[in-house]
Amino acid sequence: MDTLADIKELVERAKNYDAEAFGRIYDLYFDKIFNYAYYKVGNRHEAEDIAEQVFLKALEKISGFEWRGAPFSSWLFRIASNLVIDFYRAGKYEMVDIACEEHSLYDGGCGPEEFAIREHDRASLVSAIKTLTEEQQQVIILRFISGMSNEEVAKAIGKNVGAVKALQHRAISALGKTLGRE
Amino acid sequence: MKRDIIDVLDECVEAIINNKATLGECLDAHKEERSALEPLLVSALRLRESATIAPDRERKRTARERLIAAVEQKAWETGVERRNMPQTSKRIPKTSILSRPFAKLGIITLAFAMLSSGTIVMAKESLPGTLLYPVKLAVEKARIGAAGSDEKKAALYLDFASERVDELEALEKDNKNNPALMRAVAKNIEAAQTAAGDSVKFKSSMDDLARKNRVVLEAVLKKVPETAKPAIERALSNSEEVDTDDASKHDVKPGNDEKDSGDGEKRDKESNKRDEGRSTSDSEQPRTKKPKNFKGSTSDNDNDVGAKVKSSGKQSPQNSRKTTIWTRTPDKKAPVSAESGGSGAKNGNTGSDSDEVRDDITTERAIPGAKNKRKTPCSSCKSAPSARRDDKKRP
Repeated sequence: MDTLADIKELVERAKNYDAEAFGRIYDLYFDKIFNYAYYKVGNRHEAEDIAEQVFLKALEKISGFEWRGAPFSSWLFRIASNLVIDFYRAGKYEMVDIACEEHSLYDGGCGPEEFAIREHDRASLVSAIKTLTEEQQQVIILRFISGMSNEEVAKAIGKNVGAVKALQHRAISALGKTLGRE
Repeated sequence: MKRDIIDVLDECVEAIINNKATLGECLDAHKEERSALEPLLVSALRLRESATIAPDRERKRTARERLIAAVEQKAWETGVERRNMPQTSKRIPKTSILSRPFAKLGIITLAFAMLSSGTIVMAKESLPGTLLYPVKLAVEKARIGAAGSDEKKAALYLDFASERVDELEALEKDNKNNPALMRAVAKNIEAAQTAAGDSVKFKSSMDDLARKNRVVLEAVLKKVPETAKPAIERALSNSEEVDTDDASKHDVKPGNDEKDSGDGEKRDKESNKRDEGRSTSDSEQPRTKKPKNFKGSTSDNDNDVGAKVKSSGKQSPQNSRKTTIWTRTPDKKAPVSAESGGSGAKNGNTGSDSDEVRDDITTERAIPGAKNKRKTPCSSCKSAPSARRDDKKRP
């Protein structure tokens, strides 16, 4: 399951407002979209809201979706990107407080000490990612957090693969410097 | 040189992301670039390891439920549900050749052409899944297209809702919960309410339908999306009010009627006055109150209603009242009382004949409670004046 043909079939069913197909798409992509949103806004609750809105927005727009070579996930990430922009425009980022992140016990199932370290690392990472340019952030999040290939990232952000590789290199260099200073 | 490190970094990142190689293996494979590559790969690895975060499970689950509900809602709003009905309601695709007025004219012409054949008569009795059912829906659509005023459209939508209810009942043996059909009921009711606005006549007809099919509508209510529920709930709650009103009126003694005030009572008084000039059997029913819907359902403006009353033989307003009372009985097959018989073409009907009379009436919504089967085509409607006019002509 989840080959390109499967995804295409799911999307076609979703275009006919098949609830089951939509549910399947949700299951496939929600976590990735949530992670993307989390690293963009730095707040779990806001990221969950944005991820939910992405799928509701997708429901509204799915009838106009057309396959143009890019994977379906690219389309979802573009919606998420627009919602993140809306989030910052609305000034909600002032409420963001990484240190206040709670109940992250689901991911990892680790002990309190390890959990605290991971949370600290994650908070540092979010802060470091925010120092990158918009394009660099997109590449890093889509590549490392959402697990997309270079080709998929290229289609998602409208660049060629070479540009994506260059952006990736510059972003990792910048991140290394930022994280190394901490 | 820089181009090289970009490619090498990407190659190593790809391998690390896909767990095909470790950091050490990557560095060993690219010894020349090791010094430049190592800090980059360490950062990339750190990014990879601490990146993934899981959303709150409960929030994820509730968000999923909301999404599914929204999808179902969307399916309902866009008519996808209707398309899912078995071989039924696929929309006729619009062609660019036909402009809107011509299309309307074409539909009307087609409807008349079909009316002239026996197909339409057979189609009327068809059920979802049968060959002629699409014809039935097409004709319904044509009738809506040909209806001029919103009032007529509302009446037609209500008829169609009633038809869907009958189809539901007919299909009950094989397919108890046909959601598409249930939603079609709700959609027709909703469309009728939208078209009717605040029409009193429509409201009374709506009450009749709701009272007659309370059980079915309550089942429908559970199946339709949230947006369609208010229409049915309104219909059900209104019918409850009417039931309560009627019940209280039946408890009131004739003498007390005069103390009442309000439009409904005035209508009752007028009705009683008219009753006095009629046959003895009519005047012997002083306590049989005419429901609110009576006036509306026999209005001159409603040709369908007039036709229906005529087709049922001697259907005086008293007959209508009788039948209205009958509709409150749970058993739809219960015979009409002897007083509801007529002296017209179907005079002297008893038993099954009286059932047929009821069918004709109910088809046109004036008298709720009867089963909706259009046994006779609308040809009888053409020459039929309203029931009230018939009554006025009587000595």
